[in-house]
Amino acid sequence: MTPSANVTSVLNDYVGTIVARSIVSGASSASGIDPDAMNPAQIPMFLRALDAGINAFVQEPLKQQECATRLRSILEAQGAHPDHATHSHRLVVDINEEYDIVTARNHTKTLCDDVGFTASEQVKIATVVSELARNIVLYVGRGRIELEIVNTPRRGIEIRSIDQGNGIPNVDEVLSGKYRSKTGMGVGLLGTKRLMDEFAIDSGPARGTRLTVRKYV
Amino acid sequence: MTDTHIPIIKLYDTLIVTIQVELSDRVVMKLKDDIGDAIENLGPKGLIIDVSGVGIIDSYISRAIRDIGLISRLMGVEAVISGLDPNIAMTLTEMGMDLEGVNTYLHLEAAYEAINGRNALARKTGHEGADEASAVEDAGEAWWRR
Repeated sequence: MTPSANVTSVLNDYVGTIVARSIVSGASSASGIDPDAMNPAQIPMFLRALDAGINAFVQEPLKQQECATRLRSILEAQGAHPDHATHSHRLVVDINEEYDIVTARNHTKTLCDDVGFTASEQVKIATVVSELARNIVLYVGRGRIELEIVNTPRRGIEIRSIDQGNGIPNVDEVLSGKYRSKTGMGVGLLGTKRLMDEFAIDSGPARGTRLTVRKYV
Repeated sequence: MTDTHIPIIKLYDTLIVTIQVELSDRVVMKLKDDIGDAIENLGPKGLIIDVSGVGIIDSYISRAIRDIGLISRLMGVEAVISGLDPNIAMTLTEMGMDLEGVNTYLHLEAAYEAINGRNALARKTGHEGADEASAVEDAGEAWWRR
């Protein structure tokens, strides 16, 4: 996503889409800075221009502050790594062998940096990705992990684990914590659920397994 | 992908394994074999698994580490873990996992002293005055155990 799209989507959590867009374009014309082509030195000036719009349209002072802080952190994150603007915010990692687990984890780290997760949250998210990718390697053989930055209802990361295997036979039992396989699968799946903010699973013999989890900043 | 080998270091009566690479199935199996051999051949007093170089521990890796600990315990050698990153400790707790049966110490020095007693290293090397190591001994108590 471009910086202007990022800014608009954060603003969209506080104001409507049209207002969000006009705050961005207003700030751009007031400061003479194009957010998609600015250099890191211009970020503070552009943020000040955005503040004027935020203060005009966001009512509560606390929300104003929160919004401004989030905008600063995402713009600074992008400014620090200029190439991030061109990074895709959706990544697909094919999982066919053990080493792909490491690849998936490394991609996760890059995305987590972009989103602005703390170090301890990053470890949790990387652990979940490792867990899901390892399940694919150990129990199915091949599948894929999809990683995506989400902005609604809050900024965060969505991780999808998709395979065409035979499904998880006793998924309810596993998630209730009553079941522990010899291989430890139960612990991993239950642990994944505990580490994430949202957890959804669809699994069956004919359709394989599709697991979607989310963690918000 | 190259095949990785995890070295087992002998320090007097203690074996030290520092894990600094990705633990794949193959690496874990090889390590279990190697540790079994080393214990049989060297007859050590204890085994320390240092995980300070490990970035994340998922359920599979935690089980592998615990298994290694239990194998060496079955062979009559005390096994402990050192250097667990605080973020990993938090993650493991939240997941509801623990490294049951294997004591955990803050760092390698504390783990070594736990196996060999206070100032063990100083006595071995003849530096009687080196007392500072004992200060960390209590801090390194097995805080991980619940």
